[in-house]
Amino acid sequence: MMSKVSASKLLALLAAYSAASYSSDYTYGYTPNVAAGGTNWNMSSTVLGVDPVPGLDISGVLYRYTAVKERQDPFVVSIQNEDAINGGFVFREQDDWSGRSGATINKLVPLPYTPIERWGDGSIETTGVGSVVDPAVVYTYRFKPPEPQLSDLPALPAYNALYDDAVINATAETDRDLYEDDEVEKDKDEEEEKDMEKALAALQSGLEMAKGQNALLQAMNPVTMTQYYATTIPGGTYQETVILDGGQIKDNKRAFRSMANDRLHTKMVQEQYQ
Amino acid sequence: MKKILLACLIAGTAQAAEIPIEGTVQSRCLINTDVAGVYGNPNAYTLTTTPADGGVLPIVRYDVSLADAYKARITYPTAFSASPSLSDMVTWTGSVTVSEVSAVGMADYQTDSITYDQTREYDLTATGTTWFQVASTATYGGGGNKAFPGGTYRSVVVAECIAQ
Repeated sequence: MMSKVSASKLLALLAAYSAASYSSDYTYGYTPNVAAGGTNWNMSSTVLGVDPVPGLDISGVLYRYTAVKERQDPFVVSIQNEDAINGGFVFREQDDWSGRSGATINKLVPLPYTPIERWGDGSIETTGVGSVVDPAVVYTYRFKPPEPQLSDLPALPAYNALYDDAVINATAETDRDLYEDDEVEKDKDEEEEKDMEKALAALQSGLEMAKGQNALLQAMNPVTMTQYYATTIPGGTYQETVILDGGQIKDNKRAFRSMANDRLHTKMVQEQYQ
Repeated sequence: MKKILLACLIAGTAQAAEIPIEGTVQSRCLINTDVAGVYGNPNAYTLTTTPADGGVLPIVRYDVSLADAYKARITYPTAFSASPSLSDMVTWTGSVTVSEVSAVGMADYQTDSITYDQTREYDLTATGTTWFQVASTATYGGGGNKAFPGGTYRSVVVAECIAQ
């Protein structure tokens, strides 16, 4: 099993590697340790943690393991993935420990972006004398959802204009009766309007004639009060609405004085003519 | 015309110019602290970075982009850089080991290293990254198992990259 410390080191290495290659069009990420379950793994979504769908490109492999061996022994470790399309290997990194001491190796292998379709099963294989302890393999990837293709769109029902209500209504035969009725109604309205105008004109001329006759009668009978007697003045009785508050009215002394002055003044004026 | 030429010659003989030459040397050996150490205190008189005793081993990383050009020299502590006042002797032990390498060519760094006093020296013969792990243990009382006074203790690992 991969320890927490080793995982953090791998991720630190990953961060340094991938920081420079960010783009807004892609989503970047990395898989969990695909070798956690052993030295053979497939590239399924359960192992990778992402769906291996078109648009997913592998950009690098980080691996870490400890080679346990004697210095003099031959020992070669291969970390690899089969090429699912072309055969052979899409990725293969070999560490030849022959004649060297065993050690823990922590390695990043950058790769050109390679579509996930090519990535077949992965494995860690060894030849010689020695063993691999605590292997950890992590893939770095980028993902861009593919543009939808025309063939990917769901099938839509074929459009038939013959069943379109709007088309049916637009192409239906016109009912001529509707137009004819409208014209008849229109003619009737026009005739009624003309009749009304004639009636008003007759009324107007009648009034004018009546006015002329009245003027003639007045000229013939200069003193006639008949029409005044016949006139009714609208109204009737006007009731008192003012109510005296308290029932008494005090004398206005100022008014009395003013009236006394006026009478004196009048008297003095009259005395001039006596 | 002759006067002008003469003046130019005279002026030319009197002038002097200092032309600077600058250059920048980028280090091809970088040292970085990946993990800071922590002392565990398994008993009253011991401070140790051993994980089993509650400590954390410090890890220093060397990034080398030029092979056979540098040496890594790492010294484990022999004194506290900060501590309470100590009236008795502290006994120091420690070690430096290669914890991880980024290339198979570094596999023998530990075997091929030399050590003297509290220092271990490695020839950095390959390009890539090497992680070194440093262990440190301090025992108080000079073998008498005397308890450390309470307080904060700090020490320093010295990591150097020396051109060969």
